[in-house]
Amino acid sequence: MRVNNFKELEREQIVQYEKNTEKVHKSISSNVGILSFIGDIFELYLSRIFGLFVSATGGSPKAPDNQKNDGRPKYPNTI
Amino acid sequence: MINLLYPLLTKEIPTGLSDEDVVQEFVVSNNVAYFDILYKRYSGKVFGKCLSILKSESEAEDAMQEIFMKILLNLSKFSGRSKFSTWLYSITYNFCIDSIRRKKKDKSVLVEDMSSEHDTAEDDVEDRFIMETNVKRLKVILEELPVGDKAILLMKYQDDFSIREISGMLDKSESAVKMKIKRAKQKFKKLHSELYKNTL
Repeated sequence: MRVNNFKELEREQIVQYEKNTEKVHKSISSNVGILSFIGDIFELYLSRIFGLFVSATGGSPKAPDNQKNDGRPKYPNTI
Repeated sequence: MINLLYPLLTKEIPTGLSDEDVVQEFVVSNNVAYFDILYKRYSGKVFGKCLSILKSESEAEDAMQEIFMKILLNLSKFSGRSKFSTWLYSITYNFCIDSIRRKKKDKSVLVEDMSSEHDTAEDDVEDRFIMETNVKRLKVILEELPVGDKAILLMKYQDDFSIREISGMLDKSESAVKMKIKRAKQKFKKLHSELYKNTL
């Protein structure tokens, strides 16, 4: 088999710096936790924030009533 | 109740999936456990590359954190045209080289003039000579080499990238990459003979 000490160097580094990679993993996990927490909050309150924004700009958060009864029956051909 | 739900919440991840399958599963399920598999497979290698290029453990840790956050946030953009490892290492090398550029405010890392006197002056250095240099010496020589040369030798000998893959990663022509490798090998040999002239 062909000798390649670049690969050997890589193997040595993996063993030697295991603690560093674990430390970074913890840090990434906490970042992911914070991000998903922010995401959950945003998802939960997004509709309310949107409603608040509509109210603030003078609109009504309620959906427009398209079915106003102007005296006609709701469906044609009904008495 | 939670005892009943627990097996569902911690759905077992099948082992032995290829990197590309793990990425697919992550994209479909958004389960961070799949990301952890990729992290376990590659964190040591990525850290080694960051350390070789940045030369400081704390900088390598910061770089690795940013690289893996980038990977996590962009996994859905991984198209699968190349191997996952190629994509990851390409991000790693480019990130480290960029951070050195930012530090040095020197845009010439890997963008050196291609018409150096080395190009015609010396013969090709054998791959065997480079690969069989013992690990202790290899560490020392890589430490002494300029960043661009070091990175390109790592890509070729440690990651087994083809000329085409390297040219894609560095956004350079294949002939420019070949020339860059040739010069890096010559510098390696020169440093070797300077540092270990009595033992050659």
